[in-house]
Amino acid sequence: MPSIPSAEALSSWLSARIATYVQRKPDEIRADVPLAEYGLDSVYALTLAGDLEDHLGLSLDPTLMWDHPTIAGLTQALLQVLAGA
Amino acid sequence: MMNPHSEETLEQHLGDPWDDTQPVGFSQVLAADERGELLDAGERLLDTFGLSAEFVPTSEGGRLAGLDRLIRLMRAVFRRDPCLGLGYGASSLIAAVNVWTAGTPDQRRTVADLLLRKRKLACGYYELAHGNDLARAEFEALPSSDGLRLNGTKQVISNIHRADAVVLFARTQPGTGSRNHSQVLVDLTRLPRERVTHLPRFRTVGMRGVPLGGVTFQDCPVPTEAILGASGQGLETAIKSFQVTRVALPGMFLGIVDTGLRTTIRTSLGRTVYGRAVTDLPQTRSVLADTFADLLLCDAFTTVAARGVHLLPREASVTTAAVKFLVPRVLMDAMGRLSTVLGARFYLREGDAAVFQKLMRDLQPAGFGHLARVAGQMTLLPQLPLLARRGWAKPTPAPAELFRLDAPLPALPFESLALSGGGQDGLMGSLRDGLESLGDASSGPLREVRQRMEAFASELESLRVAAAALPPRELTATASPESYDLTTRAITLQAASACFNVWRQQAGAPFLGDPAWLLAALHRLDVWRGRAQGPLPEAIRTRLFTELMARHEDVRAFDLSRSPLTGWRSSPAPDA
Repeated sequence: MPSIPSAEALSSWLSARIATYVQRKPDEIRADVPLAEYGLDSVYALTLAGDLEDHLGLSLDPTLMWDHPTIAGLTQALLQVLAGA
Repeated sequence: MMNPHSEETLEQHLGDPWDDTQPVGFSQVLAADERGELLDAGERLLDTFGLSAEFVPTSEGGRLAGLDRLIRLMRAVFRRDPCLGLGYGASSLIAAVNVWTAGTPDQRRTVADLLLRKRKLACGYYELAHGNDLARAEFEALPSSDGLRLNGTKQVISNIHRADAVVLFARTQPGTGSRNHSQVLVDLTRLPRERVTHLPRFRTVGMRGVPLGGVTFQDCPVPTEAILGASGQGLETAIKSFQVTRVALPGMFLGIVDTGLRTTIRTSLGRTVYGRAVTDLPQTRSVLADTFADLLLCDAFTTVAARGVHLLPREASVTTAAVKFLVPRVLMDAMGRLSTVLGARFYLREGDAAVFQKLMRDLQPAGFGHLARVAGQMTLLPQLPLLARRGWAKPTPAPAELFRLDAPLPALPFESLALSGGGQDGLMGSLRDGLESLGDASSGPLREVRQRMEAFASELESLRVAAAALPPRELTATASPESYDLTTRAITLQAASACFNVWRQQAGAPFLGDPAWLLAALHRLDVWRGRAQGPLPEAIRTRLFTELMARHEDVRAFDLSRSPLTGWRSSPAPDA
């Protein structure tokens, strides 16, 4: 069973990851801004889902990123998935 | 008694296309094309056969069970008249799969009923300004006080003027992101007329008989229940349902080149130049054998991908995108090459080879229609890193039934289609697995098969390394040509595995178990991607040409099935 990270750890992992995708600094990525605003289109969900699966050791539907398009929203959704895993 | 729904029955309904007195004979087909009309007699024959029921899953009361069967049936139509194939049939299928993928039980029942009554369903995705960039589609179906309001224009829609219903891709909420669009199932028979304007017909190069229209809605009310499935699911539904149609359509279009090849042989047999029949010229034989190999390559890849939608639905996003990129290009190149054998005759709109110029025009939409070939690459690109980390690093072979052409299939699992293959790739797994099972052969064709497949396996390894190193910015539409090229390599290896494993699983079959066709298909695959050029080796060329001429003589399909074309009699070749 995967260990559950804290919301804070998950959120900063996501910021760092998104920052590498869009080639910016992690502190420029805000948790409450839709990722599309940083130029991430729908296909980034596939990349992010794959990276998250490897990071968290579970299986995710990439549409989770579409349903929760901000880092804050996604963090909460992931914690729920982890709690139910 | 003959099965009333079989390919053979359909063949006999449609009759001999070389016979001028037949309702779907080429002379009638050509005359309708010159008039820019769908062949009415052909539509009535297809109504009698009940072709629309083939687009309705058996669970909804129709006859759609296997995608491979559907492709073979539709090929019988495409061999005679691609306009009928698309205008009578495939257009409704393209719309209906959205409903089977995302529709509620009520919506599925409505559409099943419509198709079983032999009515038409249109599909309105396209806005000329946005091409395949669906997320930017502007057509609106926004909520209002009493349901939804349709606003905007959809262009180049087959059958829109005569369909009972249309599936429209529409923005259902403003903003960015991927949950703002939905498919809306609109009953065209119950709209307020003053809110709907039909656009003039679009005139086209090929598929002239297919009525291509457009429609503008102005503040047109439709009920909220018109949304397919849940609101905002549109992009997801599109991505999933396209997986079914982007393998089915290229598979059907293959029938066009079957007739292109048949017409070329027929004309060449009766034509003498330089003192001998054109078919006796070594260069002609080489082109004909190449085309036959192209058809086998395309059919092996298409059939495996179509069976894969049933057996490995999660991976269908990868394999069907690969088919969409490879097959239309190979088919169009094959037609172009055949035209050189026909010489000036391919250019004539009359005479015994006149159907060729029509088929060549009708084939073109295979490349861009419904979805562009490049959209296939764009589907694969973001999946490459995960494939590299997972399926290509620790391969799992696909089940053998994937490659056994007569093995039964489970029902189409629309509910299991997914946005991405999650890095799994059974086709690549079977490439390595099959190679390991090949015995050691010190000489002959088997040794050559082994060498070819070893080369493909080592190419997979270098592809894996390159794909694993792709940075995220190289995974989207703005990626460099070098990154796009990696998808071409992946597609090539998938096609090679499909051919190789079809050959392995039909061991003992008189032609399909012979390594000659496999080596020919692999050579053509390398020609397609610019790694090889020139004719097939002589022994292989002769084997293929002999088989091709035997099939021509027996009036059999030039694909994997070798089916007898029971509607076509062996018409004598025309005089030179």
